[in-house]
Amino acid sequence: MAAPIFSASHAAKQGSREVRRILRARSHLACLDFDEAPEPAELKKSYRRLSLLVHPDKCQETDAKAAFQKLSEAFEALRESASDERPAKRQNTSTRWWDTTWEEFERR
Amino acid sequence: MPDGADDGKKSYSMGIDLGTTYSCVGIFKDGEVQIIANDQGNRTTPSYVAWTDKERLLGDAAKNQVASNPTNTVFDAKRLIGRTFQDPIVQADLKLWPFRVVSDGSPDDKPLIEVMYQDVAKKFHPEEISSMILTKMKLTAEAFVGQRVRNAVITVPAYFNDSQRQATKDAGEIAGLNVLRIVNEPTAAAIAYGLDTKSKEKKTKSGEKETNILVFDMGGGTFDVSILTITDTVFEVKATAGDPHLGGEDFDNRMLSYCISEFRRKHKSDPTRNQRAIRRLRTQCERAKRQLSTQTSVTIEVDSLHEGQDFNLRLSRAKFEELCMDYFKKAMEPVSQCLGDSGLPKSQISDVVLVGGSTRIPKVQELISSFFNGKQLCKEINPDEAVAYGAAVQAAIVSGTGTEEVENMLLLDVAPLSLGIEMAGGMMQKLIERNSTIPTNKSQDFTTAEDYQDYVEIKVYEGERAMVKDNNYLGKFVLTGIPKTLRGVPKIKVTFNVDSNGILEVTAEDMKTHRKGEIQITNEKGRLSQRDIERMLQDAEAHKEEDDLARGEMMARESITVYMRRTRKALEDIDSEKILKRDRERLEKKMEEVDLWLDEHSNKATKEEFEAKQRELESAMNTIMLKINRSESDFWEQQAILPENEKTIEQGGYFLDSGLDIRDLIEDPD
Repeated sequence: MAAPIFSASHAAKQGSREVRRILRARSHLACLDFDEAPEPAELKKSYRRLSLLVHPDKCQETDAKAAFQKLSEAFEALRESASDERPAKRQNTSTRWWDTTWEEFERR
Repeated sequence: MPDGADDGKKSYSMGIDLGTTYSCVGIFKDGEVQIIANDQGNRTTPSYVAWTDKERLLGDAAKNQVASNPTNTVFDAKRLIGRTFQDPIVQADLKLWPFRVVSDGSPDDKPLIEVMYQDVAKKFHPEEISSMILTKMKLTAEAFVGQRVRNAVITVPAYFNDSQRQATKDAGEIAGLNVLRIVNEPTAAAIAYGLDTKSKEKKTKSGEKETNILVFDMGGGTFDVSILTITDTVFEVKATAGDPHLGGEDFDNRMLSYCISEFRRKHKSDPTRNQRAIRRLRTQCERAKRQLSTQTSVTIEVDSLHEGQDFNLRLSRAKFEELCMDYFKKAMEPVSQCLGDSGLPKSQISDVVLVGGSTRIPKVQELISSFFNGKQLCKEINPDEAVAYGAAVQAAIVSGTGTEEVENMLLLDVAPLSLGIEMAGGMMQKLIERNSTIPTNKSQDFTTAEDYQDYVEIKVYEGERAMVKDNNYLGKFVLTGIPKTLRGVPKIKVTFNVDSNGILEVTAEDMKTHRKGEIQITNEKGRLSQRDIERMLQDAEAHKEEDDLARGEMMARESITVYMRRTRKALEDIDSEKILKRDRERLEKKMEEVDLWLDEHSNKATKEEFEAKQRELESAMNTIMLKINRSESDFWEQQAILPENEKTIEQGGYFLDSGLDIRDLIEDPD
């Protein structure tokens, strides 16, 4: 998996396949193309490989941006659950405040 | 591949480092990055614009005349861009600038720079000043590649906020550029570093080697720290921090204040109100600061500084460090914050890369090195050019005009500040966390709190503090046109979207009706409206005509000077037998006459007058040449090889002796 250099058309085809796959994926793990939790190094490797294929700078698909964002979020989440690498960074997001109504939200 | 790659002629995309004090432009050409020297032969161009009685000056020409024209010479636009007039930082800077800055008087409170041009006061937005500098950089690039260049990547400090980024992008548009991307300066520098090390290490076989680096970027006006993880092709920013108002100019100002107080003490008079004196002293302070990076003491000397009194001061490096020590120490805070955010221990940082002119200061290097327990710092890359270098690479990546190696690279950057909205009680609810990889987006559903309510108001802020009042207000978004119904029924989806430039866009959609058009978003952020930008673009175009006129004069002047030089050379070389003594004398007399005319009119003659003068000289010359043996005619044909059917300026065509087509510089093909 040592970042092989594909021809442009090959990479493009693979890119659009991955975009569709990621957008269909039902879990963070599936997004990153794993069935079970990988080693942190493998996780990073997979994230980079997929970023190179679906990042909007690399992929012309209209959905590339959405796919990349889903990929990034999945990667962030998996990395945090795997290690206590960045305890300070995402404390707030545990309260799912966006599920509240505007009214409840204002009351808070 | 994306824009411009396949329209027949190879198109180029440039990378511009738009600095507070100096700017630099690079272009990816023939498989490598070229940093381009301007018409003065300098690889960096002062970010200065000046207005004289006659013309507008850009870059070196503007900076060189600053002492004689301080109130109409504008610099530091980057310190104003995207800020309000009442911003405490603007208010503090105001006192140090010799040019006038006023508020536009609107609720947005935008700052305007006021100069006198041909006896009329003219006001400019900081975006316009920046656009003029961008235009200068664009011309520099165009002269180098010999064709029009429109696509550009422009860099900003990583810690620039949303308004500052947006304003910089606007400046690019006003300059008529197609802004491919706004890229963070330390990230661009990291690319330069990455390519440099890669070319040296000859690529490790596995290709998956992971390196963590810290980029310490301290320039003339801004300061950034970024931590990146670099593998073979992917540059991933882990965290970024900084201070958008800290740099070399602050050190100059400290030295300046010290010199002024010394002058006061010695001479019992105050030069503060003497703009020319202050400007001259500041220039000397900047020079002394640079020298103190290599010498341990310098003398600052200005003759007849104020009221006929000379200024003379011996300044040691130790004294300079003492004057600026609080700034140096302040610069260490973002370093530790950035490390904390990245989640990496100091020991995992394998290289500390120094970028920006101010990292030449020995004390700054010493403090960083000791922060990393005496680590050797990386000074391999050129601190003045690395950012433009990386920007040029990113331009090639995004436009698909690079080599395969470059096009396989990917940059993953982050948003520098958290973005959120105001909740009840003035609390800040973050929607997008700082250091999130961009592009990113987050959505939030809203509904109404009262029956038959047909609008909701959302205030958007950026920053890290818990209360919104401590953060930076970006604007409020009023969603109107919600169908009137019972409270809690409407569902409005608001999406925060940070694009690849780090710029926030907000969209809203009524989920019940799915009508986006029904919802009006009032953006009250203090940025330029599209109308403003279009007007400025027109102004800039108008100015371009003026500039083209000036350039036409310049060309004509250059042309006649070149002709004179060649005639002189030819006269020296021609055998005395082949030319009649009388003819030679006549020609020499004519040349003398033209010389005198040039001395007197060189600065005020029009293009037509220059051309008329040249024709006079030519006809005198031609009559004599006819008499001379034709074999000697090759004196008149020493020039670059031209395309078929093209002529030099002397021959009535469009080519300079260097082989450059002047139409490329003057005419717009559109």
